[in-house]
Parts: sequence; structure tokens; C-alpha cells
Amino acid sequence: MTPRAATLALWLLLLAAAPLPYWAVEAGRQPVSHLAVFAGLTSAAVVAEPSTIAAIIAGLFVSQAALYAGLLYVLARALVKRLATPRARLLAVLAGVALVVAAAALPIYVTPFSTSGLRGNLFSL
Amino acid sequence: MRPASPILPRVGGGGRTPPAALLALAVALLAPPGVARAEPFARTEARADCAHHDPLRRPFFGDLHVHTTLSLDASTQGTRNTPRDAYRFARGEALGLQPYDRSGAPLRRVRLERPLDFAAVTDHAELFGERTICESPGLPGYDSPVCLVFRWWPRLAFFMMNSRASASSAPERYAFCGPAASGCLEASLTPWGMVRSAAEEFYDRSAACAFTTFVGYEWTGAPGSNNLHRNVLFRNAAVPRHPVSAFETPDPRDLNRRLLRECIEGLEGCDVLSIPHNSNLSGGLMFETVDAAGAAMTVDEARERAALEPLVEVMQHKGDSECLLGGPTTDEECGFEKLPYGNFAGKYVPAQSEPVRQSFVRDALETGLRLEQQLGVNPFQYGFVASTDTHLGIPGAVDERNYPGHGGAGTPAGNELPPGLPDDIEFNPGGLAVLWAEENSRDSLFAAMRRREAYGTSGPRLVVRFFGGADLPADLCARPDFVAQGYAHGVPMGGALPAGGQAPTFAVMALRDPAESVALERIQIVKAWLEQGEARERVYDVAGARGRAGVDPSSCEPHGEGDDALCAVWRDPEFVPDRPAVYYARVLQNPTCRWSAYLCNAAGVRCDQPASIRAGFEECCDARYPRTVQERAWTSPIWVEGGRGR
Repeated sequence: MTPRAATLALWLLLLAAAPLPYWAVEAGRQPVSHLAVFAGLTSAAVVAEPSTIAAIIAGLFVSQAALYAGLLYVLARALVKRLATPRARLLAVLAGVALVVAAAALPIYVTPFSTSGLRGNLFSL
Repeated sequence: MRPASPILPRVGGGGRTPPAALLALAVALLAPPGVARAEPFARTEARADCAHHDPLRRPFFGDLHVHTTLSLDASTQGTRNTPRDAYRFARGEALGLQPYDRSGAPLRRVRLERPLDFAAVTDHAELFGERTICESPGLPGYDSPVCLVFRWWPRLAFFMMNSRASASSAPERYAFCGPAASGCLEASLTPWGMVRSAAEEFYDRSAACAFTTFVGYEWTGAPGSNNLHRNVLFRNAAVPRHPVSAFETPDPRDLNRRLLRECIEGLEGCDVLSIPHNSNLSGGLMFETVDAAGAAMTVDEARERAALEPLVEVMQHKGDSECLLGGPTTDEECGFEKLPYGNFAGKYVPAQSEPVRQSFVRDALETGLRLEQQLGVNPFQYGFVASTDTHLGIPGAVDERNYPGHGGAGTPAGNELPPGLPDDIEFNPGGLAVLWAEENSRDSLFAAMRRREAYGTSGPRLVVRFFGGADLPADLCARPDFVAQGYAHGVPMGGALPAGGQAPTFAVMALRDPAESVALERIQIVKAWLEQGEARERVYDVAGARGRAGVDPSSCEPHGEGDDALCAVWRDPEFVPDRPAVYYARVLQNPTCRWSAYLCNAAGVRCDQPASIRAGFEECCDARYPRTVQERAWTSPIWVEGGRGR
């Protein structure tokens, strides 16, 4: 596996599953992918129906999602740089997949806006 | 100051059975012999005559501030109870509360130990239509991003949609409402119809007169997050086609004009009043005497306000609005159930707002005296009620020992109960409205509200009568015809006495809640007056005594003594003729545990042992919030008119 592919794969896995703390009126702990969905829909709501409070909320989601996306990319790159061989990079990616699978089953996310519960696993968010 | 009558019983704090003397006093208070001078009310609706009709009036207990799932800030927190459910609960049926399990069964159930006599569901008129559209596939706007947020992330919609509707001085409808908001106005007919039909269904029009409902809603204007909310209550089933919301009338003066035009003047049989509430969260604007442009209140505005706003809600879940300790106010009882912030934004941005004196009712009473001298009309001649403001659809659930939370602006419990306390610690279980009326019918109760023969309690069903007059008999407390004499020689709470040279006399009698074991501590009379244009106030203890009883906050065990009943006839020793003044009575119970103390104790919280403080119970040890309270009642005031310009 090339360093570029491994970086991309690890980054996507982190975006999809890493539980990250955020604050947007309420505090939560969710992956960047979910923050991006929040950011997208609240931004769409602001475009369709401009409002100061909604714009602030959308801004909070957008800024935190962007910040975390950048930080996770840096993290993924730093990890891959420490892996010298293609095999090591492949193992790292597979380990990431395993972590995502584990995350999928564990209630490690805090979802204040969800209709299905305050805490949940990856697929119940 | 005159002490309580020697005939009154004095018992320990734990006595439950009223002694014979208490029963005798209750007879004097509730059903005395004699001839009434009270005028009958007008009948404006078709209904059976009530089998029980007392010309000397009885106290009816109710809740005039109730939200159900029709309020967006309730439904987005998981509330599913409808107006029908709320009235079922008020009449004594058990009701489920969120959270709900996967099968839809509620995980909590509540029930009133004593049904209410009356209730009014007062859902927020704002967003009635928007909420309906967002829940109705096929309606234009259902697929809008805002409605997607509403359905996917209701807690997020709570902030986004509420703020748009009620935090601006010029709230705007969503574009998906269509031209001139026609879509949302049309959609609002569905929830408004539910409010009206539930009120009709549960109103007892039989001769039993067991339960009364009022059609109502909440007008939710809050410019800059400063609360100017009013509950609009209609006298009978004749109501406008649409509720007038803050979208149409962001200025409460316009609300009054619209209600006058569309109801009182424009619709046969329609009558209405509005009750301001949570002035404590108004940032000083609820009783402002100039508008945003700096123009002073006009005589017409003062008249409209006096006509449409006879009552103010003095206490509810979101705190007490009677008075604020500090400055010229040294009344230590003003510390009761105070929120630490002065508007809605202050809850989330602590530096945003401190409570200010101008937000509180006592200051408004004083301002009203001043305006009456200037305008000839007192726009702030407010009687008092209390209510809950429940957003769970459970009117009258005021028991400190079983507080399930507010259900709106506090801690959400939509999907699962939060660990620890069920709501923010600054909230409380709210209070009740009490109306002195001839019978339990809409016309009779509405007339009581209009003449301000009403009072509020912080929960317990204390019975309080308050009369003022120039020549009330000094031995009134010992007479079995207390009430008849009060009406014959004076005015009841909510009334006004003409200016005169003689000091007014006040008679006040209070009975403890017969279903509770908590005795009364004392009765106070609060006086506010103008002295050379400056507001003054003083509090007199007129019956009972302070500090005779207490409660152990760690066990909630009461100790000490108190009274089952208190009575006093009191003449103002510092009365100056022609100086306008206003007087109201405040009745204090012996101390009991606050709702939070019951829960903190049950959770084993010991503030001196940090390890005992589990997640969610941290606020148990917040020193800003006492662990005990003194429940109370506030009577509507009696005004003594003064000469102009004094």
C-alpha cells in the first residue's frame, strides 16, 4: 500500500468513526462525518431561511468539522510516515477498520440532537 | 401591628388532622352566613346552572399556563401529551411522560393527588403552523431544510426555530410559509382546532360544574431574548379564527389592540384577557413605560393595558417575579426561587444579563401608582396568580417531592432521562392560580380574574382571604361572618379603596393546605406607596411569628410549631391621607425541603464528601440554591387611591 493511499484510507476511517468532542449550543461527541452532515443541513437551512442564530449554529458546525478534518489529516499523515513498509501501512489500515467495527458496536458517542438516544454507537447516530 | 386572634389554634408542624377550631374558621372563611353584597357575574354561554353556587364565593384552584406537544419547544424535547391529555391529567387521570421505549410506552407516569378545578392549555401560538407543516408529508415546506432539521434533530430545531420566532424584535416567518404566511396560517388551524376542541370536550357544562377549561394560547414575543410573554385566555368558546402571534404583532401593545379589535369589539360574545408572565426574564422591559423609540406610554395605551391585563403571573417553573432583593428592597423574602439571570440569553451567556429590579412585579405596582398620578389610569393594576408553565402537559403538578422537570427550556429528557436531577436546578415545580368565584363555570371564574379576586400560591393549596376597608370591624377574626362583613364593609383582594382621611384597615385570614402536614408560619402585609414621587415599600408581620419551625435539609424532617390558621385585622400605622398606596398579603408556610433536596438526599449526596456526588448531581452542592423553601401565597393587592400630585 502506498503512503498516499494509506494516508487517505486512515484519514477517511478517522473522519467516519473517531469520536470527537464538539459544542454547538449543546456538547456532544461524534465523528467528523456526522458534524459534516450537521454543517451541511444547517447551512442549507441558513441559505434557504436566513437567520442569525441558525447562522451561528451552522458556523459552529462548519468550523469544528473543518478544524477536525484538518487535524485528522495531519494525524493520519504523521502515522503513515512512521510506517516504513507497505505491509505495515496495510496492517495499520486494517487495524483502523477493526477499530471502526468496534466503534460501530459500542455506545461511545454522545448525540444531544439525535432522536434515538443521548448515547449511541456508530450506526445509531 | 395586631397579633393573631387568640381563638386560633396553634399546633406542631406535623399535625395533620385539623382541629375543631380550624374547621370553625374554615366555615367562617368559606361558607359563612349573612347577606352578600357581591355582584353576580354575567352569563355569556349556554350551560346548566351549577348545583353549587355560593354568592360569597369559594376558592377554585387551577393552572393557567400549560404547554403540550403543540408547543414546538415541548415537542422538540420529547413531549407527546396533547391538550386532551393535559385536561385528563388535570381532572385526576394518570399520564405518561417521556422518555418512551421502542414500543411507545412512557417510562414515567405521574398523577395529581388532588384534581384541579380549572385549567387552560396555553401552547405557543408561534410556530403552530410551521410545526404542523414539518410533520405533514405533502404540505409545501415539508421537505425544506428547516423541517428536515426539525424531524432529524429536534433538539437542534428547538434552538433554531424558537430563536427565530421569539428572540427578535421583528420575527419573520419562514419562507416555506408561503406568501403572506398563508400556508402557516392555514396549517395553524389544525393545532388551534385541537386546543379549542379539547377545551370544549373537557369543560363540564353539567350542573356538577366539576371542571372548567379556557381556550387560550401563549403570545411569545421576546425582543432581544427579553421575555414579554403573555397568556391569552378567552372567556368562552367565542374565539378568533387564528390566534394572534408575535409574528403578526411583535409589540405587546399591538397584541392588546388586535385582541380588542378582533375579539371584544369584533366578535360577538368574545371576551379576552392576557396575563404577562416571567417578567423576571424581561430584562426590565415587561413594565417599561416608554417604547423602543423613547415615546412615553399614552393614556389610551394605559387604558388598554389596564383593561386587558388585570392579572400577572407572579411565580412559575422559571422562577419568582414578585420582587428582587437589593437596592431599596430589603425584604428578605424576595430571595425566594430567583433565577440568576435576567433574560433568556443570560441562561446561556452568563455575562449577558443580571436580573434587574424593573423586571419585578412590586416595582411595577409602584410604577403604576406613579403613572396613575400622571395619566389618570394605572396600567399596572395587577392582581396575582401563579401557575406551572409545564411543557410536559401536566397542569398542577406542583409537588416538590415529585418534580419531573419543566420540559421546555431546561434539561431535555426526550430520549432518555438525564443522569441526576430531572431539570436545571434554578427551576422549580411552579405554583397554582386561585380564583374566588361563585361557582366553577367559565363566566364566574373569568369574572374573578377580571376583578382580580385571585391569588397565587407556590404550590400548596393555602386558602387566603384579604379585605380592605375604612371601617372593617376590629373583631373580624373572631366573627363567623368574616366574609360577609368583609364584603359589606370593604373590598376583597383586587379592589380599590377611595382616597380618604382615615387609615385603611385590612383583614386577612389564611388556612393551611388541609392535605399537607405543613403549618403556617406567618402572614405579612406588603405595602408600597409614593412619597413625594418616590416609591417606598415596607413589609409588616401581622399574624404568626417568624422562626418557630424549621426543617433538617439532610432528612427533610420538620421541627418546631406553626398554625393551622392565621388571621389578623391590621390598620396601617403609618398611613398618610391622600398618598397613593398598594397593599397585598403574603402568607408563609413553615420551611420544607426544596425539590432538589429530596432528590439529592435520595441520591446520597453529601456535599462534604465529594465521592458521594454522582454525575448529574453536582448542582446539589451549588450554594446559590437553598435546600429548603418556604412555600407561600400572594394575594392580589388592594389599592388605596391618593390625591393627584402628592
